[in-house]
Amino acid sequence: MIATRRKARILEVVVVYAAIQAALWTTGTGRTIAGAVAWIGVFGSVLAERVSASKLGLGREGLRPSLWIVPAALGLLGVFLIIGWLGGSLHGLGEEALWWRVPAYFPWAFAQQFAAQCFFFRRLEALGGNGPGAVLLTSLLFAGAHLPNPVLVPATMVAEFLWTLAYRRYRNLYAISIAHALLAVAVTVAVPEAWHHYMHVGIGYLPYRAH
Amino acid sequence: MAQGGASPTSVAQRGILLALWFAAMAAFVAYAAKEHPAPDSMAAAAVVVGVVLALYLALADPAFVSALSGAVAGGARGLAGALAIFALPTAYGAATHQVSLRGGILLLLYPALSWALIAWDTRRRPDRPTLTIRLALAILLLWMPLEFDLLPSVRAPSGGPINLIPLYALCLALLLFLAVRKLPGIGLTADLRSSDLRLAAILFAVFLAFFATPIGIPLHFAESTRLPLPLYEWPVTALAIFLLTALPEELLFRGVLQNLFERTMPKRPTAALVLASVIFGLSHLDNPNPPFLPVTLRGRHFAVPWLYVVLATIAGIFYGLAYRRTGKITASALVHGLVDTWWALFFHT
Repeated sequence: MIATRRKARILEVVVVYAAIQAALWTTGTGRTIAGAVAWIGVFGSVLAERVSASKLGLGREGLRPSLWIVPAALGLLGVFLIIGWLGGSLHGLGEEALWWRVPAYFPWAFAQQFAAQCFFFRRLEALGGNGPGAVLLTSLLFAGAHLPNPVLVPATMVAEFLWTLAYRRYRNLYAISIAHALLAVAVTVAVPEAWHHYMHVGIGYLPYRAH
Repeated sequence: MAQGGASPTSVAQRGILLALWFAAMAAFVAYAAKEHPAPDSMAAAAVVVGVVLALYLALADPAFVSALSGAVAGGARGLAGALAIFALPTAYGAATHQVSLRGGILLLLYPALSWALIAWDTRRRPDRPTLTIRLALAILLLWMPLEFDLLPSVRAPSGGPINLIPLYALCLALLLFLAVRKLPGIGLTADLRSSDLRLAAILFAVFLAFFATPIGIPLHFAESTRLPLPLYEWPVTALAIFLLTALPEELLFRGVLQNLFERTMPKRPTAALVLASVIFGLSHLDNPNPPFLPVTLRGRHFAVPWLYVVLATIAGIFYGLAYRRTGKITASALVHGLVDTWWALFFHT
């Protein structure tokens, strides 16, 4: 019984991750079908678990102690901006308000963290115990979903490792999602567009034309 | 079946309705003034806008609806009430050369025929408001001319951005369903409790985080916008979306359609919810937002915005849940308004 459940969890992770990669590397109908499989896999599977919202990290539990992550991410945002300014790569801050991008990006960051933590990490944790292996594997999978972007792969590898450590400790998604949104904005404006290709990943990274 | 609804309106609730009226009028005057209309034309425009907004918001007060029901009881008075609603925009449209003779006749036939169907249904089944052919025809008659722009536009001031006819049509629909047909459970009320607001916030957040964003962004339906609206436009945008889009659509799809479906199949409320949501989704077929699905029907080619329809159907389920849990279209309109406002502020399609 336990072995069957274990196999089912592994299968879930493999199928959903393959669907995410297929969605990233295809266009048109292929992308739609793969995206639908990934979406149903993540949300359907988490919903079918019937775990409470607070156990998933969607409640108030763990929120307050995790809030230090937000000012830390703000500090890092400042560091990125200073480095970008010093290096002459800071861009896109003219008529576009930097702060505006954060709430705009937040729901997407939250959805990504939900998939990474509530689906992948929780399953890997159940398969391999509460050790650093599950944290590392989650960050590897997350970084792999940002291929072939040479900026985002290492950045998400490191960031997701830290966010997953934070999730493992506090079991709350909100602060790490805000940090995700803040740092995504930092990378967008501080790193040259020619490097991150408008933050596109998968097949969308390839057809970049410099403005 | 949707619960709640017509509790007496308190002084505080009337205060909210009055504040909404003032806020909407202030926004209207500020926007209309940008066109630099002549003072007399601005005054006339303010009257036709002020009257329709006052009527619209007053219909959220059960005491007003009760008085109105008494006033329009009986055949001729109901017809007179329906025609009276359209008298002002028709006269204003004619005076400002926006409505021709043919247009004027259409603007009189529209309320008269709608009233006739609803009055007929009321006479045939006075105590059992379920979805009959007569009511279905009345709903189509009220809705389709607006959907396909079959009625003349009456803009105030003339040439301005706001067409008043949908707002007057909304008041007509409210008069007919609340006062003539006396359909219970529509739930147009200012009585929003903290639990209603909490539910609206949760449904909005769940839809945005688990449906709109993870479906809309990867499929390139929507992108985060990079240009913020000026701060002063936020409340105006939110108010306009709530009063001109969310509440009218919620009246039709939840207050009337879902409500009637629930009364017609009382043991299958989920089917009623899904059916109303699918119709709501399909009502977005005319939106020009990709991705499209090419469809050929009898040699004619159509580009169906399938993802828009899917997302609108899912959104409809969330709005319908808010209505079902609270029995108030103002609660579902709050979820709807939050989704549309978020979209307007932070996304572009």
